[in-house]
Amino acid sequence: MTKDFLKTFGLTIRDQIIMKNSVEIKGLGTFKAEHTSQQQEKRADGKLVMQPPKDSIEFKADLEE
Amino acid sequence: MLIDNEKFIALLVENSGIEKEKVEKYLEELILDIQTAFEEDEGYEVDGFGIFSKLGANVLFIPSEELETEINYKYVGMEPIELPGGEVEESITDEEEEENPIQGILDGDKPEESADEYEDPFAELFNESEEHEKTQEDELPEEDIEAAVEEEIESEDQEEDVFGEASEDHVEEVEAPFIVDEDIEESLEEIEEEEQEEIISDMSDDSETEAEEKAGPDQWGIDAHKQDDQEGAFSGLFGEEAAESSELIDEEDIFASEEEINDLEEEKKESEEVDSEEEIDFSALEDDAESTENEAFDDPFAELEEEAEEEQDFVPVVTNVSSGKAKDKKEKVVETEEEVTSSDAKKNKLAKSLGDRKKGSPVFLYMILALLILGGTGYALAYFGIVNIEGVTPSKYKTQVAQTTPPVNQQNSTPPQTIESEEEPSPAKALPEVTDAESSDEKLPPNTNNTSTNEIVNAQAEEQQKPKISKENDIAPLIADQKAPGDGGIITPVNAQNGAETYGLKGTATEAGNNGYTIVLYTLSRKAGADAQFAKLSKDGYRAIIKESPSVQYGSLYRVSIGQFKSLADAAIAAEKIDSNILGNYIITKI
Repeated sequence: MTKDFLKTFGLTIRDQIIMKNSVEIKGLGTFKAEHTSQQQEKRADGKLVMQPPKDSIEFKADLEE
Repeated sequence: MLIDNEKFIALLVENSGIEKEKVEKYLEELILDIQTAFEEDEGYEVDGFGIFSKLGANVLFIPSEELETEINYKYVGMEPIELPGGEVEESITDEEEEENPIQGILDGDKPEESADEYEDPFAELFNESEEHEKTQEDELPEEDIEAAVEEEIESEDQEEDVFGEASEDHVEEVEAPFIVDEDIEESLEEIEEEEQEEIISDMSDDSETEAEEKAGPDQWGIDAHKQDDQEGAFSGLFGEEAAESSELIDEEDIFASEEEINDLEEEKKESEEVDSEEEIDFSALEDDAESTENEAFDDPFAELEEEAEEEQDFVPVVTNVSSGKAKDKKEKVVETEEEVTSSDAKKNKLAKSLGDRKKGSPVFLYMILALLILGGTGYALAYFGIVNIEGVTPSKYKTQVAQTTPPVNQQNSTPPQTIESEEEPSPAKALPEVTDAESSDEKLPPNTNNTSTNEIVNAQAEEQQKPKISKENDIAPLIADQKAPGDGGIITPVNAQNGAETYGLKGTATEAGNNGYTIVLYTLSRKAGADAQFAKLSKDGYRAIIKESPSVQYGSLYRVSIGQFKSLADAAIAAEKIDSNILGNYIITKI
């Protein structure tokens, strides 16, 4: 296992997540893209703020089994 | 789309250039290392990707900051921004805060609680003095009545003692050898007889005399109390000092009674009631003084008599109180005068109390006025922003300093060069329609402000990304392909025909429509990919636009959008009609 492999491992998963694809790795788990739309938030000081959209990674492990 | 294990290995082989067998081997080693780390209760970090961690039975993946940023590259430059609704609320609160101080200064609404406290000193000093006098007048009789009742009881006891026991003593004293004058003996005998008669009459008429006495001491108490205050010398007459000063007062009684002896024979009886020895001695001294005509000795008594004549109103009252002996007849004679003098005494006392207040009042007045002036000036300075005091200084003065920090104000973010910017408030009117479109397709919160701010946020983000883009570059045609990366702007051709529709979803983009809104479908880092999407969308008949947005982190990003719309509402309505497969996670922004 080399550094290049680990770097490629991360970049490949990243690209698939950006393309809204889910990545299933046997023995490890599944990476899935989650999109959070723009939404309002009311801060503690009472100001109403619009939060920008956000994409995130959701991971579900197979190792638990 | 799901990328299974085989596809993932194929992608790894393609991207890394490593043989498939090695890739599979490395992948197995990676999984084993992660499992080993979990067995040792440790996490496993893939550099630049994230951390695998195990908490109990759960395995967590914490993406690195780089990965978080990279998967959100489409939203680069977008920051939280205050919504107009929030600003309105703030402005309302600011107005309220502004109004309150004004009302507090002008109307005096705010210091309502302290209004009474503020008025009290002045009222006491000026306005409420009369009321205060009235209350004193109301209070005094009660106190005086109580004191008078006590005095009456004491005087009655003393009267009984005097008339019961002292009468016999008087007889003995009259028969005593040191009495010289025969006239006095005769007078004493006559007085004894009268006393006995009066005692009998008093015993029979107790009820009547008590009724009369009750009326008397009330006035005596009032007069005595007030005259005490007036003179300031007999403040303790009602207390223990009365007994101590009884001798002096008895002497004064004697002076007072001697004058009346010349007029009324009954006053001799009263003088005997006081103290026979002192009276006799004093009378003897007086007789001696008359005989010897010693002016030096007579002058003080003469002065005292004159004073007694002048202060005739004062002396009898003191006598009544201090001696505790009722002098009914004397009271009857002086009663009318006492009534007059009591009213005068009240006036004098009240006038004096007012005078005392007026003497002390200016200090308090000046202090209160100084405090008020200082407070008012300080509040005014804070209110007008000269001095910054939290809670007092209006926020409009504070925000002038604090507005340099983000989030940026919406109105400042809108490009002023376009005509559309003046019509920005209009989308808010059509917000309900926008809400339906956005909530159905994008699962956005059903608040109309979302859509309006969506555009604003995106437009602002784009404005931040191309702050120095000129209007010519915005409408640059395909020549823009040769631009250096980072210049930004719309790089797609525009329809130069005169009859072309300015706005719309289909057709070709127009130069005039670039001041409107568009629906962004893709944000891509490669121009080739953007061109491919542009060609595909154009082929489907959509009015496709590629806008280059420079990014410090990613270089240039290419946002592929469709349609040119005059308003946000038009864009949202159009987005409803577009196939969801084409739309995806779209964003409506200002072009």
